[in-house]
Amino acid sequence: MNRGTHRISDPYAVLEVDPEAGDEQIRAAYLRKLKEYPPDRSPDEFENVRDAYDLLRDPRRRLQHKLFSCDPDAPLESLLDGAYARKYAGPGPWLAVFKEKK
Amino acid sequence: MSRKQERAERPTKVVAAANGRNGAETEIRRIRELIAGRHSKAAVELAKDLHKRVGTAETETLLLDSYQCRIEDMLRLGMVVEAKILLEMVGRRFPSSRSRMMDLQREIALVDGRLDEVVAPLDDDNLSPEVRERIETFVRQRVYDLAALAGVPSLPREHSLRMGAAALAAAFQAVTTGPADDRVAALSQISRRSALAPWKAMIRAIASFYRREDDDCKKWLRLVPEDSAPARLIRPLMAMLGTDLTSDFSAAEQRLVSAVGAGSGSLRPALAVLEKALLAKKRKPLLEAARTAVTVCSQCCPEIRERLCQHIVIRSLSHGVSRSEICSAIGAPRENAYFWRLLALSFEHHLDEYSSAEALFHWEYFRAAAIREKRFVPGSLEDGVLSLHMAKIAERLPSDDFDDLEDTRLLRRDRRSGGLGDEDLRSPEMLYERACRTDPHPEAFQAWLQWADRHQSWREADQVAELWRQAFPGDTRPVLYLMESAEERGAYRKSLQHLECAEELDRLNPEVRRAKLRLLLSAAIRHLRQGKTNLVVAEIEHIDALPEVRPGEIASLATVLRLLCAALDDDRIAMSQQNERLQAMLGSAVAAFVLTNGLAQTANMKDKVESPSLDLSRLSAMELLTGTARSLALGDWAGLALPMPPGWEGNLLAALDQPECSLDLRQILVLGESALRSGAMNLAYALSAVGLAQGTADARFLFLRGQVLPPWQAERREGCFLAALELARRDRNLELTGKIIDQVRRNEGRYRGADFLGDPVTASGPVAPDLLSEILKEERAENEFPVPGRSQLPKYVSKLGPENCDCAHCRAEREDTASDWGEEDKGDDRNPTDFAEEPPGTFSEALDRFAEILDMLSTRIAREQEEAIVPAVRPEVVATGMFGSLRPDERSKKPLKNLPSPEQGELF
Repeated sequence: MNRGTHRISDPYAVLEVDPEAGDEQIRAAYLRKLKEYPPDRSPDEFENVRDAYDLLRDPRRRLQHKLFSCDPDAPLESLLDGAYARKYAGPGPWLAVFKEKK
Repeated sequence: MSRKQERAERPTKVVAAANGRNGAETEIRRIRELIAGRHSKAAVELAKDLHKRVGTAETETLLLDSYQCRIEDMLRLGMVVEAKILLEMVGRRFPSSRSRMMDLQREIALVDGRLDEVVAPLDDDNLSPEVRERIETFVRQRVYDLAALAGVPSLPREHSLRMGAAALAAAFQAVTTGPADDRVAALSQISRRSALAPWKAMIRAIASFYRREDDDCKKWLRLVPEDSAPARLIRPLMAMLGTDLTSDFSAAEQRLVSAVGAGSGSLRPALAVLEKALLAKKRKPLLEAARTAVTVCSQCCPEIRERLCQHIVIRSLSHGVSRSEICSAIGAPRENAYFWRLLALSFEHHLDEYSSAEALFHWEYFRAAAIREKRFVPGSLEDGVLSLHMAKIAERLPSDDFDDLEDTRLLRRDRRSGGLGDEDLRSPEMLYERACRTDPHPEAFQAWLQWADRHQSWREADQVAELWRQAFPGDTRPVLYLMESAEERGAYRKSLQHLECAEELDRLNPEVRRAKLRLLLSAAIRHLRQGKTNLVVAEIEHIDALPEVRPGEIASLATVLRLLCAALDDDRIAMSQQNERLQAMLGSAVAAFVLTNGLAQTANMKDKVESPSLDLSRLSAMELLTGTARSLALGDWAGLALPMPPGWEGNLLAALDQPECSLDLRQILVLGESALRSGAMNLAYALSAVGLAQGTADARFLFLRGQVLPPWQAERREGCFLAALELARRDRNLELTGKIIDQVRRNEGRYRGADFLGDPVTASGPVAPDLLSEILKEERAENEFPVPGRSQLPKYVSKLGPENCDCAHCRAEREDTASDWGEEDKGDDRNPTDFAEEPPGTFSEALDRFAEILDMLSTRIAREQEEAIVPAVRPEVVATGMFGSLRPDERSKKPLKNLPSPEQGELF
């Protein structure tokens, strides 16, 4: 939307918690972030953290986020985010290339 | 004859024919050709035959070349034993060939795992440079097992090759296992001339790759010779860097790319091309790009291929590409729960009623698929949340959309396969019922009740409230609703029963206490209208018995009622006494006047009450404003929306301009809301300006301003509502948030095809801080009520975005095709001078007729229409505003009860 709008794209990323995290983990992460970004010193970050926590603290709202937040018009490249980082797979898969017959 | 036999005999036949013509030379040339073409078996047969017949040094060399080629082919085919036997046989028959067959011996030794034999000669100081070089070249080109090389027993531990291999093996392990220090990849012990130097470059390339220093990675890869052993890693690495998109990976290379998960490197450029094609809306490049992207994805990120196909299909559909076309290009996607959810969301995002209706069906498919895939079970929390979401979509859809869908549906499936059918999906009631059954929680019941209250009969709405009460027996909200509902239809006794129930549940609840006061006041006012003073007195006794929250408030209300009773009885002495008492209680003659006047108007007995006249000119500004605000606030608290005394607007406006005027926020707000109710728009606007200037409750005053603005400033109003909503959201003020959204929906929320919720404001995300500041700044500066023809729209309006504007300019910017009614627009875009061409009688008659209509309207609506006609707004626009105001949208036939705002969470 061209309204200069911004959204919390991923509240889990803001709070740095796993998408499968439970209530207690989410709350702990929120408290940790509050210490990191107190409202008097980092008001913008605090606002983000609070919004993210608001989305996640209630299981029903968390579920709403999970079900309805996906953007079907998002750039296709977003499919590659996160899970497709460069992973350290150890030397095995690298050496397997040599062992394979040409 | 098989092709194999034919191929074997063909050279013999050829040589036989050649013998007669050119002799040995032809045969030699032919054998060379066979070697070059890797037909080693035929070459050996011919070379043996030739050497047997001719027996020269040249034919011996040719035979050895043939054997070498044959052994190499055997090794390539994995026939190690056969190659070894053949090599031994050649060595026995042609002892001179041993030196030239050394490389083959090394190859066999390497394949056999006898690396120590290969490198053993390097420990000999007397080894000829040529042989040393050949062994080192062999190591550079063929040896990849660095750990084995580091442990070869044939070389001393301190040998440079062993030490170098050990360091490289450790570094290789380190860079592929985790973030490695620069020192790990420094490998200073490996010189540039070393046989292991390519490994050093490769390890540095891998380290750079993981550090995402892609340019450095490419630089190191360029230093790895193509014929060296580690060069086999160049191709997958380049693919992972996104440089080589065309590689056809071997199985091991594909496993490597998948394991490292960096296939995105090669996929990203392909997706960027596809994204560009989607935006360009060009069919052929789009299909081509989609095909390439899926092919690349299959090679390097097979895990996401399915999901990518689903996204591509859905994006393509939304760009107008037919399903058959895109599916023929990339294959049909799997229609699982993920797909249906994405498709439903896609329809929701496309902001038109057809799409929203379609979204409903696809949510139902999603539900069925998710249950089938065991993502959730029927009756779970997920099911409830989904059903509530669907109900909210359904309640905002015009009912005829469902019929239109029958012919034009894109992806219709058998809806009878499970879940709700067409008829059920038409009804928000069924969806709300399912939502509340599967996940009963107050917000769901509240939303259902709010819908039922607006669109159904009182019986059905009461049934919903009863269901809510049964599900949550301790919740006072459904009971208060039932009380209010009974009160509205005049069932006073029933209403009292519900009130008693609410008191039993929570006597101290302020809502319950206020509800009791409101009910008693309502009964007293009804009796006043009926002229039954004895009944009013009985209600007053009940009111007097209520505990005071703030001293004097309930007593003041009781006193006003006594005053009105006295007026009905025409008891002037009692009236005077009660008036004095009221003034003493409220501490202001103005407050007493406003309260008496307001209640008298509410009870339809304005003509019976002669309030003592007030000389407003003698009152100070503060006295006038605070006294008025005091009574209006008291009325608000008691649930009485008191009107502003008629004719006071000018005095209050003048008072606001006085320098000593300093109202608090609550006073400004209550005055502003009353002015709005009474149609005193200039006053309401001025109060919004005073409130905004104070800068502490901007959300409320922006909301007030938005409501005050005339219809021809609709964009500005939208900006005020957007900013108010954002500020209310930031303040976590759910009550105000709900009010704003309800206001938008009630007044402007007729289905405009703007979005699935029916209006752009409620569907918008948070407003960006810059835009919010701009709106606040400009609205603070706008202190004058807008005048048609003179006032301009604030600059921020242009930043609200043209996505909802359907003017030709915005459509052109959006590259939209003209809508069906685009031509009408053009025709209607009249010049004001066009009116001069109207037949004189017609226009004046129309104006007269218009004036008659305006006289019949309420003050506020009439004033808005008068203002609109001044700048020669098209008559149909004025008429639409007028009849739109008179006849609210069908969806809000009934005025909203004072329901608590539903949960607004998913809007943000």
